[in-house]
Amino acid sequence: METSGWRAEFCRLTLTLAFLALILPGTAAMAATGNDARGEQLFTGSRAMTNGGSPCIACHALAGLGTAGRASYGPDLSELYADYEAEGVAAVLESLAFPSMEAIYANRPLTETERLDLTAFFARTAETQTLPTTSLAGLILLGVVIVFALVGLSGLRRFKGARRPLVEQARKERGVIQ
Amino acid sequence: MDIRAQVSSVFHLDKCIGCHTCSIACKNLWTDRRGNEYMWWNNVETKPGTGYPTKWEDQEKYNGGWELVGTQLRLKQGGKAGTIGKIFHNPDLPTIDDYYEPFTYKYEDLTNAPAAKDQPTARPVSMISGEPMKIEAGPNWDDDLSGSNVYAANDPGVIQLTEEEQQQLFAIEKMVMFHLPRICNHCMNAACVASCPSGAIYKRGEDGIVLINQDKCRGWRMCVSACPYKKTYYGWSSGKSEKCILCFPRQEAGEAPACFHSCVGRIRYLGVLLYDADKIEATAMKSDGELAAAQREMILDPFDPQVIAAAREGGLADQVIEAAQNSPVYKFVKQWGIALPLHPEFRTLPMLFYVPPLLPLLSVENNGTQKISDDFFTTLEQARLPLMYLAGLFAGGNQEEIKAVYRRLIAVRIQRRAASVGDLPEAELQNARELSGLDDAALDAIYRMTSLTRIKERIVIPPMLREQAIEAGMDPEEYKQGMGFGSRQAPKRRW
Amino acid sequence: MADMILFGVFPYVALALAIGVGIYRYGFDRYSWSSQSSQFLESKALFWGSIPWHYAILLILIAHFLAFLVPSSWGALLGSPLRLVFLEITGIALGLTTLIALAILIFRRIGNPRISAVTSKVDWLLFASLLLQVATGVYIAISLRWGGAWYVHTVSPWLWSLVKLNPQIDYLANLPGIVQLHAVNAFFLVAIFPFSRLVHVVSVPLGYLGRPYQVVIWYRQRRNDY
Repeated sequence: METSGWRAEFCRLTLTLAFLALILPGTAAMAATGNDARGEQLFTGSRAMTNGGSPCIACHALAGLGTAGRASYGPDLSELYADYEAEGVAAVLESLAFPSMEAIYANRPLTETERLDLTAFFARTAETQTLPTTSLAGLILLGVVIVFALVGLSGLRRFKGARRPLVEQARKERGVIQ
Repeated sequence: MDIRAQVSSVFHLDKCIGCHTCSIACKNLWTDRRGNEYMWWNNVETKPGTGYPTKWEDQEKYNGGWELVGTQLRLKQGGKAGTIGKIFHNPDLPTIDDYYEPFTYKYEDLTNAPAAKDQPTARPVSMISGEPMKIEAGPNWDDDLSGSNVYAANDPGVIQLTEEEQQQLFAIEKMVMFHLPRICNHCMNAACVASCPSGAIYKRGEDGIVLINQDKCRGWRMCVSACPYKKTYYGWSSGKSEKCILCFPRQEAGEAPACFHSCVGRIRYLGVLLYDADKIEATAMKSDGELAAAQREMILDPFDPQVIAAAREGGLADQVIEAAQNSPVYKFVKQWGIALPLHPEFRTLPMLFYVPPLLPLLSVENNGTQKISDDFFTTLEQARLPLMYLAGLFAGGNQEEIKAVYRRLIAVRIQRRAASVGDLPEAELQNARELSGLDDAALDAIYRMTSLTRIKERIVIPPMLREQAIEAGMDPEEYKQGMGFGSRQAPKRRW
Repeated sequence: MADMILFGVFPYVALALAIGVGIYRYGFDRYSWSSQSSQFLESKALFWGSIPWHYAILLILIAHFLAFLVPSSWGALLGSPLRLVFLEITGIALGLTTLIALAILIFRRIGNPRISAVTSKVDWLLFASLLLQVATGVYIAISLRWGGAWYVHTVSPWLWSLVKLNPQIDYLANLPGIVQLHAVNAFFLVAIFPFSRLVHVVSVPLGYLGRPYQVVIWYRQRRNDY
C-alpha cells in the first residue's frame, strides 16, 4: 500500500519538476546566489531551519555526504540539480507540496535565503552522483555483539546452581547413582 | 539508649527428634498454596548435611548476609546501586532446582487403569507444569543422613574440618547426627530488609517480627539472595516473596506460633528480649569469633532499674517489660549462657538461639556385649561432634563459646545424676560445677526448664497490645492492610 | 475517519485506560502489582534474554522520549553527519539486541513447560505486541533512514499535538503504513499496561538509594509519657 503511495508521490515530484523545468528557463535568472556552505549546514541539520522545518538529510540521500547522506525514507536527491537546474530546485523548495512533506513544511516554509543556500549546495554536489556503498551492517552487528559481550561479562560470577552440580560431581567422582 | 523489645526463641537441639511436626503444622497453616509448595518457613535439617536449599550455608556460593568492607558493613551481594542494576536478573538467586520441584502423583491412574497384566502405578507429576517428572529432590532429601556421602560429606561445616576429623565423623561406628530445625531468625540487622528495593520488608518496632508487606512487594527477589539463611522464599505463582511471620496473628491472640505449639519434643522456647538498638551496627561489625558474645552483650537485663526506666521512656509497656523478666529466652541466652545464635558470622544478628547438642552417650561393642563408653558422661575431649564443627555453626568459629556451653550442659547432667542416683563422688560434681561457672540453683533451673516446664513457662508471649494500636475511629480493616500480611483477597495472581 | 480514530482518538483511549485502570488496580488490588519474575523457575536463558532486553529497550525508550520531549536539542544532537550515523548505528544495534533478546524470552516461555505454566493469556498478548513493536521498529530504522532525524519533525509534533489536546493527524496520516503500525501498537501497549505485568515499569525502586538499610515500623505511637 505505502509503496504505491510512494511511487505516486515520486511521479508527482518528477512531473512537477518537469513542468517547472519547462516554464522556468524563460524567466529571469536568480537575482542572488546562495551560500553553499550554509546550504550544507541546512541540509545536514547543523544549522536549524529558521522556521523549524526538518533538515533534508533526515529523509533524502545525497551523494557527497558520506554514509550520513544515505537516508532512504524519501527519494535520492543526488541527481536533483543535474536534472532540474537551479531554478527548478528553488521552485520545488518553495512549495514542497508533497504529501509527507506538506505536514512538516506547510507552517514552517523555507526562507528565501535558505532556498538559495540549499540550491547553491545542490549545485556544488551535483557532480558527485554515486552514493558510497559501504555497508553499515558490520558496525551494527559489532554493536550487538558488544552488548551481549557486556552482558556476559557482567554475569561471569553468577550463581549457577548448587544441588544439581553437587549431585553431578558426586556421581562422577564416586559413581553414586543418587 | 534506644531500648526495643524482640520476641525471640531458643531451640534446644538435644531435645529435637527430627519428627517434622513443626514443619507440617506451619505448612498446613501458611504455605499450602500454589507457588508456595516448596516453601518451608519451618524446616528441619539433619546435620551434618547440606540443608535446604542445598548448601545454603556456603556464602561464597550464595552471597547472602553482610560482609565487612574496611570499616563499612555492606550486603555481600552488592551495594544499593548495584542491587538496582541487577534487578532484571539477580545473579545470586538460587532457582527451584536448588530446593526441589514440587510434585504429586497421578493417583487417579490407580483406579482408572484398564485391566492389564501390570500393576497400575501412580506416576509423579510436577506441581508446576503438570507434566510427568523424575523426582530428584525433596524438602528433606538428606534426612537422617541419607545420601550422606553426597550431602553430609559436602556440608560446608564438614568440608573445613581436617581429613582425619572427617573420617572419624563418618566412621560407621561413630556416625553422628543431630537435627536442626530452622525458621526465620527475625534478625536485628536483617539482610532481607536491607536488600528490598521496594522497602516492602520491615521489622515491627514493638516485637521485632520481620514481615514482608505483600502489597508493597514487587517481586524483585533481592531478599531471597540476601538472606543468608535462605528463609525468604519467592512465590513463583503470585510473584511475591513470603517468609515466616512468627505466626504473629496467633501471637496477637495469645497463642504460641504453630511450630512452637506443635513441637513434640518441646524443644522450643519463646520470650521477649530487651536490647539496645543503638548498638546494632557496632555489634554487627565485630570480628567473626566475637560476634556471639557481642550479641549477648547487646541484650539487656530486664531487672536492671536503669534498663526498666529507659525502656519505659522508649515507650515499652509495663506488661512487655514484665514478659521480658519472665522470658525463658533471656535465661537461656543471658543468665545461663547456653544458647547461641546460628551462624553469627553472617552478621545479621539472628534472634533465634540454639542450645548446641551434647548428643547421647556412645555405646561401644566389647567382646559381644554392649557397653556404654568409659566415661559415663560426655567430656569435652570426647565430644561426639568435632567442636570445630559446632563452633562453625554457632560461634563464628570460636570454639571457646562451644566449650563454655558444653561445660554447663555437662554440669547439669552430672548434677542430675548426683541428685537422682547419687553414685558420683562429690569432687566430680564440684569440679563440673566450677568449670561451668553456674551455681546449683542455676543448674537446677536449667534442668527444670529443659524437662519439666509446661507451655506457659516455655512460651511467654508478651501482650501485643493491639488494642492500643488502632486509634478510635480508624477503620481496622484499612489499618490491617497497611501493617501486616492482612490479605483480604486470595493471595494469588489475578491480572 | 479511520486515521482520526487511530491517530486522534485511540491514543487518548489508551492513556485513559492506562491511568484509570492503573489507579484502580493500584488502589484496590495492589497485591497484584508485581514484576511476576520467573527467574526462580528458569535462570539461564533469562540471563541472556532479560538483561539485554531491559537495558536495550530502556535506552531506546529514552531516545524516543528525548526526541519527543526536547525535539530541538535532539535535532541539534543529530546535526552532524558523524553523530547522526553513530547514533543511528547505536540505535539499530540496540534495536536488534531487543529483537534477539525478545526472541530468547519468547522461546523460553514456549519451550520450558515450567515457564509456560506461569504465562497467562495477557502475557502472550503482551509478548506478541512487544514482538510486533520491536520488529517494526527495527525494520523502520533500517529501511526508512534516518528515523532518529525525521521522528523529530513528524512523530514529535504529532505527540505534542496530542498533549495539547489538538490532535493533528496529518503528521501521521502521511507516513508509511509500517510507521503508523508502530505508532498505534505503541499506544496499544500503553492500553494493556494496566491489565498486564507491564505495571512493574512504573515501580522503579529508586527510593532504595536514599533510604537507610533497616526499616522499622511501629504500629503503636511510641509514647514517651508513661
